[in-house]
Amino acid sequence: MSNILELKDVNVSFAVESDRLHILRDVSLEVPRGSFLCVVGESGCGKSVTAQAIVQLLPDNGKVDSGNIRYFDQNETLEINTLEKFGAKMRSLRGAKIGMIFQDTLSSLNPAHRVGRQVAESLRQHLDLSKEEAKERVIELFKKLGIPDPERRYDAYPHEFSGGMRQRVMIAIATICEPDLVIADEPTTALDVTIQAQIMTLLKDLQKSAGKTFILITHNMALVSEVADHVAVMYLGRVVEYGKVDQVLRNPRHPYTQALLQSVPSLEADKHVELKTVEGQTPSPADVTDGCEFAGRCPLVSAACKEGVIPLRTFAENHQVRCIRLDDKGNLPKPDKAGKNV
Amino acid sequence: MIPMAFSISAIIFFASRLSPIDPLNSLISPDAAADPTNLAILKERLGFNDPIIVQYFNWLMEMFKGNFGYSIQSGQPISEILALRMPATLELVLAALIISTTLALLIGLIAGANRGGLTDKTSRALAAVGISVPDFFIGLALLNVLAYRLSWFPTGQRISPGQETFLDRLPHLVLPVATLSIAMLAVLIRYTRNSVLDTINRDFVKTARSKGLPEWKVMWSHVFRNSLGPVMVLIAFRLPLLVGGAVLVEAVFQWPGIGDTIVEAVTVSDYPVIMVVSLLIAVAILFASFLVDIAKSILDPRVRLGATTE
Amino acid sequence: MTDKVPSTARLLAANFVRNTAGMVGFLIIFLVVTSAIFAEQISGYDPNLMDGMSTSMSPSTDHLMGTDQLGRDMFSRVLYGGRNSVLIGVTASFLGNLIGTVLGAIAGYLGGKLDTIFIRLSELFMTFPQLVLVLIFVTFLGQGVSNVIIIFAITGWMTTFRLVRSEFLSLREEAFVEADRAFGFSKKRIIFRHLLPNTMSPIVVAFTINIAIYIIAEAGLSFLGLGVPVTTPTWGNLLAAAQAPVVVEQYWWLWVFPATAIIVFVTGVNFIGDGLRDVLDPRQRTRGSKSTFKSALKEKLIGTRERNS
Repeated sequence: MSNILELKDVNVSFAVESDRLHILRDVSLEVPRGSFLCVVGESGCGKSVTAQAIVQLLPDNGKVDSGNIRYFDQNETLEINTLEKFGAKMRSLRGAKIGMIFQDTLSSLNPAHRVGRQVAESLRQHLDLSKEEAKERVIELFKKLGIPDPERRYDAYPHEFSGGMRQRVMIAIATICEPDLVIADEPTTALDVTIQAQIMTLLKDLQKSAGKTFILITHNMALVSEVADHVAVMYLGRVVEYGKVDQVLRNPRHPYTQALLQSVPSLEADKHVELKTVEGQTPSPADVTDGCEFAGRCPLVSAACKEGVIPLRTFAENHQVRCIRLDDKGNLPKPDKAGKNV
Repeated sequence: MIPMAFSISAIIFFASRLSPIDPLNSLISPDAAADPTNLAILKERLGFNDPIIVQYFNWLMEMFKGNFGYSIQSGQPISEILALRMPATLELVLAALIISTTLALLIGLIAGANRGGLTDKTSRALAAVGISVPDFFIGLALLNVLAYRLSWFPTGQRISPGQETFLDRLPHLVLPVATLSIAMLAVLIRYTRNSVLDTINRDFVKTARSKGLPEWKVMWSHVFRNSLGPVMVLIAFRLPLLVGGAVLVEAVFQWPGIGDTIVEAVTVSDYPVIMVVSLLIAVAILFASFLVDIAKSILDPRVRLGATTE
Repeated sequence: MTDKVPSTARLLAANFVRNTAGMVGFLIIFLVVTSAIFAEQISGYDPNLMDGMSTSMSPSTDHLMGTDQLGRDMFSRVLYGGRNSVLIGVTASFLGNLIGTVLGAIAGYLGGKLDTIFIRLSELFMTFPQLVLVLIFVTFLGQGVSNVIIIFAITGWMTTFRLVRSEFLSLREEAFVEADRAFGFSKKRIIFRHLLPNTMSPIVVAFTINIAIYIIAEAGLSFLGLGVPVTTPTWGNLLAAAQAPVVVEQYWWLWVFPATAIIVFVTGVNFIGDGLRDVLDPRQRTRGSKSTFKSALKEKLIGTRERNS
């Protein structure tokens, strides 16, 4: 299966006052066509920034310092990071080939424009359609996405919708031009659980039925198990673990992933078992030093963990882990009594 | 708004009772006052012997009927004075408002969109200077250079002998309007620019870009459209100037408008005139805030439709 | 909790020095104020001395800024005028700030009907064209230096009022005020000892900016002949000479110098105000202003992050 998107050693930094904060460090990802990738991590780990970098919509003070972002179109390969941010080539990708779904729908939709227009805008930008033709297609898509009374809703304003409905509008905007790749940045974080499930089903259906590739950014591990084919775990700007969803969720190899999974409350677990949390606090990107970023909170940390660059090691079936404490078979040592370091 | 109008008019009425001239007195024309019996009748009708509240309402009623009172200085009915002078001020302020608003919106948008660019830097520098320079100084400078030295424009006043049509008078209008426009530009540009900068960082602009829209469309259709709000407010609150006149500019150019009237009135303590003008300005302000509310509801559908998320 | 500890003052001062705009402003003001204070020593002429022999002379080595129609030396008049103008501006600003702070504190802290009245009043005063409002008061109170100061204060308290009020409104909800109330501190004590120190920075900035506004206002007022009487020279009533067309046309030195003095001084004050605002309250920074206030801001960033996480 060929890849639709490849990131190789991407570094992104942000200018804050006179400093540069390194938000993404040597991020590499391969996204096979038609697959569903989930990028997970805590807030601030850089997952949203990765999404923004892919479509070159980083904020003004952000920059891709090095690395490649390659998009494999039907006929050509495009090196996204070399394209001009608002040039015609890049813009022909956005919306038409790569669609984005944003998290905060109330602020991500123009409050002064009707929703129908906002969806049709994307359509008419890339296809030569009349207003009526576009409107028809939008209404059709609204129906497919489960927006009731689509003809009337076409003329409604964003604030007149509930959160779940607005997210469907966002999905409409992202998919109306039928892009091959859809990136969804925490689309359901602000929604309640039942709506969350509906939206997730919707996205998964879109992937399966239309053969689209999805990248879902989330910090919710439960969602990952439902929809993902592959998972990439990020911590402080680095990918620390990557693999098929079964591998990562059933057999997490990185201590951080293990801790993350352990901290997910489960309905089946014993009520009296203490809910595990990850020890310590996430340091700020400004304070990162040599060695493993997780060293300060890892129960299995060793002296060697704090030095140099920790390489990404590949294990069975392309299960990649960035940890030097694993043996060749990919097993972690048992934590010793005094295993907790500051 | 209505209660505000009443309270303000009440304040003005009662405040002017502190002045040597009784507000009711000023409602009687000097000619009528010349005849004592007439005077007594009029005073009775106006409620001189009635409690203060009645006096206030009578005064208010007279105002509504168009009787603004009489100037102490000239004896002229104030409504006449206003009618005479209003057009001059309206001409001046309206022209300046239109010109400065259009320019400011354009420049502000370009400056905000191309932050750090040439337009941005120059306009910011000029604006910084602009707030430090008293507006009438601009007028004096323009007068000196363009009118006196170069004789490109007349040196003041609204009309020269023999001029008939508006087109004839136009040269007189240029310098005063230019001065007032420049004075208003600085603040307006800064406001627009800031509003644009605020909007440009909002999430829906990112969404617009993610659709692959060209930048000009993003700027015009999304950013500009949503930055208008605060600017409209600012402009609306300039409207009282239409009534209050641009006092200093009128003084520099000897422009026969309301501003000039005010200065004259203050110089000779012509209380009735001052009172009426303040009342009119206050009404203009209330009207302006009313317009702002309307503009807000037009610009922001959330206000119009009563934002309630289900 | 408050960051107005002595060492912070030193830190702020150090950062202000690094703020180029602020320092330029400071320099300008320093020069103007010193020359105003030492007007006698610098000029050598009595500003009111009329020399019938040298009337309306353009600038020369003898009279750096020329003389007016009555033979008075313009340079000394500008210097003395500066002294009076600055005094008026500073006093009016101080007074206006005082009124605004007191009203703002009361309104912000107590809220309710009183607050609504004050806010409406401030709205009305703010939307009234400033000069007209001043003129109205002049009609009732008359001219003169003290009257002008009072009138300026009465017509200019609104910005400080709003600043203080909004600070009080937000601070009122903060935890430490709850604690104070729990301790049973009197309202007055809470207002003055605990809340007020936190609002100092915007007040100081407003104070400086108001000085500029009042100087310009005085200029306009006196230009119309309705401000400070001519016996006390101010930059404003020096400009009043330009009411006569012949002056505008021929005797440019009579009004250009006072006007330039005003512009220079006001620019300086505005720069200081901007610098102060950058240093004291980065939140209010106008976008794009170049400030070199890096380290203290980072401290604030990291400090707040610790508080938030």
